[in-house]
Amino acid sequence: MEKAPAAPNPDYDLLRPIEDPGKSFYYIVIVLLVIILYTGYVYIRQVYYGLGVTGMAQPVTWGFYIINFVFFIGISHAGTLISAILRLSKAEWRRPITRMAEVITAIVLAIGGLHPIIDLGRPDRMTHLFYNGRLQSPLLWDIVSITAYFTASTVYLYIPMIPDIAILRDRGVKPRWLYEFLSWGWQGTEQQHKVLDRAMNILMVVVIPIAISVHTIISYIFAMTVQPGWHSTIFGPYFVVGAIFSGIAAILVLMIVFRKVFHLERYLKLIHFNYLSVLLLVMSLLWFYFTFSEYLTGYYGHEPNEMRVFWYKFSGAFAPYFWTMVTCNFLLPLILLSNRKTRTIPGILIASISVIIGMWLERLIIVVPSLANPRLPYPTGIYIPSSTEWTLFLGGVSVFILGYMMFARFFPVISIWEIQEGRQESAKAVTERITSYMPDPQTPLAKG
Amino acid sequence: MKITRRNFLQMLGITGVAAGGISQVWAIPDKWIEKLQYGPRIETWKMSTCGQCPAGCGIRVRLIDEIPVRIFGNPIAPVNSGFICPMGEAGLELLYHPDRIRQPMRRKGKKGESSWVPISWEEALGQISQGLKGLLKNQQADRFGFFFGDRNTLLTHFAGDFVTRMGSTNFFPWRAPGINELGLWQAIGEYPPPSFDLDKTDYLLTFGTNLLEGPPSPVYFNRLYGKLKESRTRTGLKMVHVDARMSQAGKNATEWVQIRPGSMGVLALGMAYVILRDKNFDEEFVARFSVDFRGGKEDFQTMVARDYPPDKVFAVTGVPPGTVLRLAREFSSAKAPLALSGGTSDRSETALFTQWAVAGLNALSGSFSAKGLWREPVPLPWGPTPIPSINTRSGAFSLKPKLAPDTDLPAHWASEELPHLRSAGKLPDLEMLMIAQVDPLYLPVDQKPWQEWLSRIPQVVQFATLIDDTSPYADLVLPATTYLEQWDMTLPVPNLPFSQLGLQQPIVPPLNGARPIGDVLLALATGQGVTTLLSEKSGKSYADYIGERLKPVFASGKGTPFFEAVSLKFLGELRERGWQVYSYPAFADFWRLLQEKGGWWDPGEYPEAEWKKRKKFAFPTLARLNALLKERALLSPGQGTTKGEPPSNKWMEGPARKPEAPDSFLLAPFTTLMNMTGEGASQPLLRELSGLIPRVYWQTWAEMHPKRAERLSLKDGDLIRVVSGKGSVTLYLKVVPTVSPEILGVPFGQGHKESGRYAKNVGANPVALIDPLVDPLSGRASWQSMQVRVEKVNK
Amino acid sequence: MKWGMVIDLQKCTGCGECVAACKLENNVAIVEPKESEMGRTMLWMDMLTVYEGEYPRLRVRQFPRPCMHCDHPPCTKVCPVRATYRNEEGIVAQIYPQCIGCRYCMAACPYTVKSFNWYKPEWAPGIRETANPDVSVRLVGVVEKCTFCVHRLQKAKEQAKAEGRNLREGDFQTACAESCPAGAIVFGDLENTNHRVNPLSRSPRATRLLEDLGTEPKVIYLKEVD
Repeated sequence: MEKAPAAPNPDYDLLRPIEDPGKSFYYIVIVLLVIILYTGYVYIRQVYYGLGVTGMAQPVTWGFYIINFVFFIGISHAGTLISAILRLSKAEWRRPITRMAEVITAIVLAIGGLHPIIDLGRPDRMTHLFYNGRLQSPLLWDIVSITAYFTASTVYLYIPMIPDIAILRDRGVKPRWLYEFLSWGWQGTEQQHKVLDRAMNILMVVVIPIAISVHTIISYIFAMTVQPGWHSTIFGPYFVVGAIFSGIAAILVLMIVFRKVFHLERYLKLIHFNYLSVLLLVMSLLWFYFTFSEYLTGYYGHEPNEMRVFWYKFSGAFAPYFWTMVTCNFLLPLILLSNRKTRTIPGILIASISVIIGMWLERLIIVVPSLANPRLPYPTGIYIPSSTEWTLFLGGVSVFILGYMMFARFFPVISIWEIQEGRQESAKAVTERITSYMPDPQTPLAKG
Repeated sequence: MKITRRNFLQMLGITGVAAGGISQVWAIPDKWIEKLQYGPRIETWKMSTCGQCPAGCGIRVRLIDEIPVRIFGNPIAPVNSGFICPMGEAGLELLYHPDRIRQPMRRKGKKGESSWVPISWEEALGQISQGLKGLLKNQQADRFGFFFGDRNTLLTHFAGDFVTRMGSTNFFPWRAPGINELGLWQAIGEYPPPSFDLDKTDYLLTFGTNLLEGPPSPVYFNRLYGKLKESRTRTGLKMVHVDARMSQAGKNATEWVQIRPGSMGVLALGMAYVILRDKNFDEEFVARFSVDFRGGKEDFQTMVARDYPPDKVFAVTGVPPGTVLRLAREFSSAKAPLALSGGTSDRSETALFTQWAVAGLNALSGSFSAKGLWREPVPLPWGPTPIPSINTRSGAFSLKPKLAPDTDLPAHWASEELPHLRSAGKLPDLEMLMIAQVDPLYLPVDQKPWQEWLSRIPQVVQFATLIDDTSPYADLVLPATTYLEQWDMTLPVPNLPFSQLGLQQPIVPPLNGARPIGDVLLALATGQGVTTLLSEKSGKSYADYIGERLKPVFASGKGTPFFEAVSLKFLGELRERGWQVYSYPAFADFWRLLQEKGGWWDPGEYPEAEWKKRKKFAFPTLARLNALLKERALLSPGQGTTKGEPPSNKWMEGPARKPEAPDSFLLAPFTTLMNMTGEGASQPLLRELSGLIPRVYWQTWAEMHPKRAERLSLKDGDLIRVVSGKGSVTLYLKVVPTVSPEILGVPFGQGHKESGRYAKNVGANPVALIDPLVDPLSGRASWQSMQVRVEKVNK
Repeated sequence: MKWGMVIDLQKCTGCGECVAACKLENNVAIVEPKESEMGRTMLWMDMLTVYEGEYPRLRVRQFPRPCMHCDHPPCTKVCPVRATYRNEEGIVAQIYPQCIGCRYCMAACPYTVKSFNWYKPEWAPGIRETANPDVSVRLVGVVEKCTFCVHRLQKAKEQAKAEGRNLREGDFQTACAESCPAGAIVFGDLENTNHRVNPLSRSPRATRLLEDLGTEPKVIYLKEVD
């Protein structure tokens, strides 16, 4: 495929940010590094003094760390799951999107996966999980599933990247050793393509159940207790839907940002946004459906402890967050995305950001109110996150941005070879496929 | 009080330096710490008696390598049977308190400044000795006084003795009066009053009396309440608590009756009205053993019939006529009704009137005729002890073998009024005042006159374990031992139906330069050539004094050292293991047994109270009350009878107030088991647990009724500023239905200016709001019915 | 053998002695005021209050709340490292050196009985050294709770073994049961018919907190009837 083309390949524009990152890139990196270093300091301080530096207390013993854990892992579903589903369903419009989505997964998963460790009172004893681990504990399931997901999704990110890395290697982009090493001797032979295709096919099939399991299991952390507001059978699918929902929103935001920054209007066309935002709208409706059934069953069951949590969310201290969440996750996306006039790039951006905020609030609303309203006659708990927790949150976001920037600095965020493949082959493939859907002209319908 | 972690830590460091005045040495010696870490860990137990409050509970201290690590109850001490209260538990925190004074100290600056120069014991004692010598030489012994916190121990007698031997009569004991003490003194002229046996009653009516959270003995009464609560489901015992706030006594009663503070006496007489109307009263008792019931123009019956019909009572007390009627009928038809007054009713402007009225109610309803309900305290077999008293005409304090009912009152009733008595010219200008075991400037007294009075006395000597709120007005502060480092003997607990003596013995030698008060007084007396404090020449210490006092007890053959109540089976088991039931042929054996067992008691209860032998019961009448008002005018200078004629019935119209505005309340301070009179505040455990029930740890809170809170749009957890004409405090609001809508309940015992790092500037003292009025009949300072306003504070 | 506790609310006066005794017996840290205000007060034994009705029919129910030592404890199920487990005598124990401080057990406990060492527990100078030598002082970052004074059980067992006899009823008492002035707390072996708790636990007044959760608490309350 890499027969040196006479005219420069138009898709090599995508390599520009790698070959010439520009000054502003470094400024942002420095700013982010400063934030991350400070976050590191704050975390070390927390390790030194203990979790007392957070705003957690009794009975609200879980706070930002667990909320962000669930939130980040939720975002991570953007990637691999969506790209796998799109690949599997042979949606041709996926081609410019998949890699962006997969990168989100890999980075965010690493950040999210760290959160339970940040949350530990004794991080020094983390190894106990390995030699004393109880497999009956949902936390252990989590460790297993997140590790599996992380492994699968990084491999799934990496394998389709090999041909692109080879392009970079061949163009002599620095650092050469990196591309040399990572390209795995890719020459673009028929055999290699076959192996690559095969590996991708296996991975995309494997990665879907893993991804679903990850968020289901995270929901199990809550659902496996008997606490009001947590002990629910629909928590698994509810969390998965929420995760995909927030994931799509995250991809949309990133696509809009990259489109603007790297001038990718040629690649990320309105049609992509249109398709994805419709998907977002569908997820929004699905999310609302789950939320509705979750609370409606709670309300009709009218179990007193359940109701205490219910009213705490609906009209109590958490009502502002609750109703903001409903607005952000349902009303706003519904209004903006169901209307063709507002389903524009700015409209989609607003809807996506509001979904991200709304989904974060949802995690907050799931974690805190159940803990704040113990069953026995204790006073309602109060949770005010401390600056430590805010800093660590900000740090997590910074790591994400930095990670993404670093990725974009060294690798193309849009898969060049897949686009090319699409150009060269898919039109034919799709036509064939569509033809195969059509009724067979040779065999007329039986009359009679 | 906003305390951040950082400045709390700073505070720890700074007060550590400042409070000691010297260096940062902790109360527990380093050697001990080493021993605890590397010692052989040999466990021993020592018996003693708790000194955290006057209840005299037996304690059993666990020692590891001779170092006390925990206090338990002494299982064979009759008053507490092995149980103690949180204050008792926390004793070691007082013993090891890091801010304990380690050296005598002389105040550096002016009076009122807490800065100190450490001096040696010799220097300090020399200075006091010289002062005393000067007074004795100039025949000015009456210029010496002693303000003494009476913990119901022998030390009070000893200190009184010390004052007497110095040639002075100015011994001012301080403590809360016992249950019924005021009323029965007025009715039958007896002090101490007859005891009662809660076990025998079938209708317990407590007028503000909170037996569960304060003196005389919370452990004894919690134990008894547990038993009564359990048995009342079968026996039908009714327990009714009358108070503005539902204290623990109210929560554990079968019924709580809300009442306006200070109006309980009116309710008692209102009940008497119904009882008289029904003619359902104890005619025999009234006829045989009482005076002033009927006959004469101003008798009890006439006054009650005229002034206390239920509708009037309702107007004053807020108790609906129906309730008054029901209570009266239930109470008078009970077989052994018992009405108790004390606690909150002690601290109101109508203290004595209320208690007298309640005593009258008892007399009327047949309580005094009920079998075994009232008990005659048996004097200890060591002969009479002088009782500190105050003469209501001259205002003179003295120690007397017996009080004269007409002119004398127990001195502790009025000892909070010393500065007033001084300004009324009834007290000589003191040259030297000793203060021990009490922190007057923290108590609900009129602070300013006290400060002025203490400032005017040239030599104020304070015995203290911690620098407290009074210390800045002392010239010399002497480090006193805690009850765990000294000898003492607790006396029988007033109101309890049996006799016991609890031996306090040093569990450890005095720490860091502290000395027992008894021994210091002895040394001072010897220095003055007064050796008569100890009759035997051989004795050299306060412990010997205790021994001397116990000799007649031993010789009388009465009672026994505490012993295990045992079953025959257990006795057999004991014998198998080589134990013996003890005997004590000589005093030395008796003394050794006391130390081993923790005290002496007279098994069996006091005999039944006999009315034949005593003075007739005097019912309260308007004439008597008004006469007393004039007679005792000196106890409440500037109050009462100044403007023209007294109102025809002050008790109906005067003190029971209502809140005046929508945001105003009647302040109702109360005490908690964790803190009682404020001593608990120095110990971290008690600081934390003082808010256990409302779940407001370390803070002072205010209790408000939900309806009032709603109307003022306040909610649980808000910060409020409580303002009175006298001052303001900021409190944490607790919205609870256990207070009457008219009052604002505020716990007493926090908000110290000193008293060590855990108490200093933590919480608030409701006393800051109070303009102390005085009960003109008893001299007791009132803390009820202060009008306060409430404002919300933004956090 | 199944250790359990019966709390007779008809006897309990709500004095709080059990709370104080527990704190000292088990060296439970006293947190500073600021921490306390945040809700980090550590009480293994707590005192809860329920208000019923309105004046004049207001009743206030107070009840001490230790760990329920459930037979089906929701907390041990979720612990990832077996730092909390139910031992063969029915006591739900905590292994402090094992705990990683994830606080999952705290979130899972329907009775909210667990406390967490948010900071390194601090004591007044001198108090730490003179703390109960039988109970270890916890480190920062671990979860702790009522252990039914299991250290006393160990001592009692050793004593009984040394004397060559079986454990008797009075040999092992928790600090709260031992110190309750009202005699409301009774502790013993629920399976042993000679122990007082056995007949008491079958009293018609017997009830357990949140019984419908199926946690099978071994702390049995006898209801207040008036």
